[in-house]
Amino acid sequence: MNKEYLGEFEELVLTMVALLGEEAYGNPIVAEIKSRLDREVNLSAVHVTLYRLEDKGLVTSEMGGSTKERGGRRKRIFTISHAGIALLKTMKESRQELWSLIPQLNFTFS
Amino acid sequence: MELDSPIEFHILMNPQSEYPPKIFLKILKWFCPTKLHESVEGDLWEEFEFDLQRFGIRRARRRFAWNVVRFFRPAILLRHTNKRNIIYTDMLRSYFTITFRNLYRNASYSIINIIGLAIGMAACLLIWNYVEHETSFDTFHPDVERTYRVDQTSIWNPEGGIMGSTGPAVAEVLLKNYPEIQEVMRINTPGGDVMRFEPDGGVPTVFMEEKILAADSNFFNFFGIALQEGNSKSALSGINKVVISPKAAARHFGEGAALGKILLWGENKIPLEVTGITESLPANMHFSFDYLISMYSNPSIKRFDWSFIWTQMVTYIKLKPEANAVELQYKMAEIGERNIKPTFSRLGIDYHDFIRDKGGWNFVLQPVANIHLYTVNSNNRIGAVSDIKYIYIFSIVGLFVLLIAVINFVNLSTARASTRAKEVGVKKSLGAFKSSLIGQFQVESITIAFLALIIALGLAELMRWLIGPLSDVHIPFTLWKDGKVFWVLPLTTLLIGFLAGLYPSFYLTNFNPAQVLKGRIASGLKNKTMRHTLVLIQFTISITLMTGSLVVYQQLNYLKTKNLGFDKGNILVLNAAEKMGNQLESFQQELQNMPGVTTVTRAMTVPGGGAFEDIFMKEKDDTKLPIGQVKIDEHYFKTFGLSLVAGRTFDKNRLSDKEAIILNETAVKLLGWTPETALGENLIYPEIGKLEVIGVVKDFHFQSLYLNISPLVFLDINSPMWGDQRVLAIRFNSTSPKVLLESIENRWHSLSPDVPFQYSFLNEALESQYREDERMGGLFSLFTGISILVAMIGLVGLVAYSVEQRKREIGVRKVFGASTGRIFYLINKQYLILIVMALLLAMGISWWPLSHWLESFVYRITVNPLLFVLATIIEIVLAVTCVGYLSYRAAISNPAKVLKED
Repeated sequence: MNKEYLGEFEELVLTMVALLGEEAYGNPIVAEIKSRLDREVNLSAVHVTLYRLEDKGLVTSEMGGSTKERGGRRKRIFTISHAGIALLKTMKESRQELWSLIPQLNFTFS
Repeated sequence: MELDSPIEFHILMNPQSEYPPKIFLKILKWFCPTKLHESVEGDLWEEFEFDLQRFGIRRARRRFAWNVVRFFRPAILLRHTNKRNIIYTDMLRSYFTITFRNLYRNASYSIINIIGLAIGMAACLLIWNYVEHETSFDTFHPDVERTYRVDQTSIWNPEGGIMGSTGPAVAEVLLKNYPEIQEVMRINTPGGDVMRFEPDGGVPTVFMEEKILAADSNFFNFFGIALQEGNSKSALSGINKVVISPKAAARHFGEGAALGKILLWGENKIPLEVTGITESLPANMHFSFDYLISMYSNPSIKRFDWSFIWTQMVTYIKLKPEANAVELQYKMAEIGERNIKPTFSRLGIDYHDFIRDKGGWNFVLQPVANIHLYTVNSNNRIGAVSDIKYIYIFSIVGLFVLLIAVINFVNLSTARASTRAKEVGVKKSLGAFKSSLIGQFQVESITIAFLALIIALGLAELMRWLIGPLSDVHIPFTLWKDGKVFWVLPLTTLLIGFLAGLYPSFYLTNFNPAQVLKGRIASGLKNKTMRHTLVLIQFTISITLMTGSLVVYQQLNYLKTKNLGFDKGNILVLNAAEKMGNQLESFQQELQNMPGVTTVTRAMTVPGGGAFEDIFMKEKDDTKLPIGQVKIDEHYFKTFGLSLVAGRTFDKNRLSDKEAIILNETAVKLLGWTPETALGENLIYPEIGKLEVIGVVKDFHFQSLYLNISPLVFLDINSPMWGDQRVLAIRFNSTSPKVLLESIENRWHSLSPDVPFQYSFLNEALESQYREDERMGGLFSLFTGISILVAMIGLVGLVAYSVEQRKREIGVRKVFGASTGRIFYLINKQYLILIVMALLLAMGISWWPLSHWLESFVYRITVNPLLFVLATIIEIVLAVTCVGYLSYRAAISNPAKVLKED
């Protein structure tokens, strides 16, 4: 899928899924984004993005076991797929490559 | 039953309601896809519990509600039918793929199909635009629903009728006697005149202006015309004020300021202060002007202010909101006896005698928004009007054209569909649902319809450019201003596509795949009958429209070529010659001596230009008769080739001829004389006295052929009768009037450098009287042409298709010895039969509307049945030409080639 492209928010959510591992579902992702980036995001936005990532095959999902909290509802736990990890890597690398082209500019400022 | 809604369970257990709002849980369940529902609800619930600790119950519940609402978004909702949805879009994509492959593979059919439909749609779109424009006239004025023009009995017409103007005095009577009237306003037509501007020390600008109106100061309360400069409340208050159009401002002042400048009006150089400049006037008004002068700047208005018979005022009233127009109109019938009769006794005319044959002096309140389309018989003095009949005619034509195009589309689709029976068979045997096959055909035909729409939009603009110069009808494209177009167009297109796809999609998908694949297609009779019926409809419409065009053309040609009773060729007319003042007579002498000039006459107007109505009395029994008067000199009859039935023309050397008159035959008859006995009789005109009849002129058409010949009286050019306007009419025998015209113009300018030179050729001026009908006739023919074009495009497609299908049959026939001619006949026969059937239908359909249209003319042709035959022959020739090549190619094809394929 060479045409695959991730939006900024999609990338963020995907990274969070990778980061949270076993606990990757709606609320922790919202909370994590809030605590690490100080950014308010809505639960529904995260959900929609997760589904989209799933459509693209970057994450997989499974229903977790039921608990007493959450009114007894089960969680849908998301796991990053190999394709997801690979995509995050290439994105990071290509960004680093671009970043490496910038230093000359930096010097002129110093 | 399994307990799959734990909320309810919880609520039952814990009635303190430290729970999310139940209603929102329900809402979520309602819209959230089942697959996602549980985890979403769980996440929301978790958030709620978290909020509960942070913010307390109330706020947590509120936030829960809000969060549920936030989930109400397409990305969630559309996952509802998650699985099926994906298939659906995939199917749709495949429909489109197959559609475009099909379009591409049968490119020629597709082009015929799309172009035919596009032309039809474009024509229809243009007509729709025209209709919208015409019906939008005068709808934008403030309080237009209670603004009326006051029409009255047409007092100058012996038979009565309605006219669109009144005397100046009506306004005051209305305002004084009828409290339900809020406001009255009058517009007067001073007529074309010179407008000059003399800047300090600069070169004066002088223009002959046609569009001059005068109005009362409250004009702007009545009509929604905005001023870009000046104050509309005060612009026309007091005398010697004028409001001008931006065009007029540009003519006199260029880019410079116009407000406060003084324009000089007419040869008396009445000064007018520019007190306002309008925004450019909307095209959809029943009048337009370049100069709007305050009413009493024109000195003659004051003189006629008391008059009811100086009918040169267009009077408007605005009613109070609660007033009833019908009741008011009823009450206004009393004005005649109460107000008008006394002014008649002052004139020495008997009111009752005057009005008896005209059905009484009545007033009619004409809603202003109706003037453009519904007052064709009451003569709008201040602008051209149209007729609702044109709206009807063109709406019908538009629908016809669209119908023809849609029939093409349907026919081609059905015809082509039978080739696709195999495809249907294969698909079915592979397990395609019927619904998906129907979907395929529908998507195809709707796609074609939309492609056609896109092309139609471009074509419509292209046609508008062409129609402008061709038929002299310029309609601004204003359709888009009305939001309607944005839903009507797509919806209509969708409908057309759907209808066209209906037959193939349902008919074909019913096939039994086993039979179809064996090659036994039931494309037989039923299919053909329907196609032929539709083609018959097309032919009928074509022939009907064509006959219509022919009749219109014949009628207009009749009007233009009818013998008017005078010789209209080789006559040059110099208009507004009175501006030359006392030089006119010597100028006439000079012209007379120019080479190439046969005769020159000086008169108030030329034949065809009408006459100036007034009332004359028969000396013996005081019979009053409205007669049109024209003052002429002694060369008039010779110049126009008019002949006298009795008596003589004016003689310059007889002084008594100043009080002599010449009548036309109609006037003589109405006065109860014969041409011979009329000579020596007297008519009386109150302000002059006795007028002796010295001659009777043979009836000729001094007005347009829309009107009957009415009574006419000629007076000597030097008679004290009113009427200052003059024209010079020059009969020339030169073959190059251009040279003559140039020398006349030079002479004119050297004599009176300030007066603009205006000329016309009589025959051209006369023909221009029928311009409105001619324009509409032109437009009608144009759309007839378009409809025939579309029909022919369809026919070609159909024949091409049927030839393709029958090529094996043709091959076999040829092998068995059928001649080329025989084959040619075979292919064309059915269409010829259809055309002949269409002829009969067309005659039935169009006979009545055509005769009805002709009845609106006083002088008219009769519908000749041969015209229908002519139209049919044209149709046959066109059809045979169009399909001829195709059938010829089929007829000469080598049967060996065709048959070897099997």
